[in-house]
Amino acid sequence: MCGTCGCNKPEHSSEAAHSHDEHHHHHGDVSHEHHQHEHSGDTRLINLELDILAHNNAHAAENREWLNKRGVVAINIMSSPGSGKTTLLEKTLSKIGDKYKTAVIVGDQKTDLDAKRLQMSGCNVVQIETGELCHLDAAKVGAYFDKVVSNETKLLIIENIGNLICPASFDLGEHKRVTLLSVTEGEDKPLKYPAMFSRSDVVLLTKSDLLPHLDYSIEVCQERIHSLTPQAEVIVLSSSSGSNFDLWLDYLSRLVEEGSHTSSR
Amino acid sequence: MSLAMAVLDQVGEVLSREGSPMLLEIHLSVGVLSGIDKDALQFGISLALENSPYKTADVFITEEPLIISCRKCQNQSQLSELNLCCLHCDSTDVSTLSGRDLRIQFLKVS
Repeated sequence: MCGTCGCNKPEHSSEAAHSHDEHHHHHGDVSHEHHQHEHSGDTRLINLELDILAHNNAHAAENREWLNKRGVVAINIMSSPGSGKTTLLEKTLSKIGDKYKTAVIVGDQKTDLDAKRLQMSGCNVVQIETGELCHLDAAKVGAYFDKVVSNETKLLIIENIGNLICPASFDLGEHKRVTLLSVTEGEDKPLKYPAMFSRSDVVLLTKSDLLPHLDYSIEVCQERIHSLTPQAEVIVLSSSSGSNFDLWLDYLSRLVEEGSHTSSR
Repeated sequence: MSLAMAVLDQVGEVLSREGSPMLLEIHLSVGVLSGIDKDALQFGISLALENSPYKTADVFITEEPLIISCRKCQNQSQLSELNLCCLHCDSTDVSTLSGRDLRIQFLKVS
């Protein structure tokens, strides 16, 4: 079971754990740990304040540095399943693929269906099948950089696994986080998934062509998004009708042109 | 890597460096904005412990509050609601000081 949503079986190598009659203390050479020992009878406390995601964050920092050295801007696109990530990317690649050399890493639990769709654009696309894992992590993504990023690449798009929960916690080394939320999902999702939306630099409210058929308030949804991430850019668009799609493309162009290499977190 | 596995891997590393004492308790803190559900994590770790040398260890998870710092008035606010707005001046120009992390606070061993 994944520790957050129950999607992966844990495999753990066995370690001998045995008690000692004497106290043997030695401190490892790890800069981010603080070892303080308190003794009470036969038990003691080992104070750590250890960030569980430190390993992933270290990999993410390495990824970001790797991309910065090559002048590549990376975006991490996240959403629930069916919000329109792949359709958005199909249209995006068709519009900007000739202007900026773009590479794509796609994450899914199973199949390479999305990668095959996006490969039709002619861009370098690679699929990561995560099996039972419901999110990408920095180490996994970084291992594919050499396979998909060339000397001419300006933009790397990472299409994360459809999941509004776990991907929020994992920095992949991206420069910007883009979260999709289709108008069919309702206005309450930002409040229900605050970790995801509070970390978003851009929120795309997709499938806006369906608005005439819905009881939906863009203003309410925007207000809720901005209560969590006041600085986020919100774009209401439709990949199928093309409504406001130019705003999204303009954003990407600004990002690439400015070579935005500063982390948003 | 699943978070439960990450917790146990980190615990194993620490115990190995500490002379492999018997693990009694794992104390974690989960930030309210971490995206991690406490109950799901508790379940995942319990399941992972069953397949580890630490199956008798207890797990305690506390919630790390959301504390922000206002860039406008320089005050800090502890938020009970997920509305990133300074409680002193209503500015939204804030940074998050705590509430996003998953930490191993301490281990109890013998």
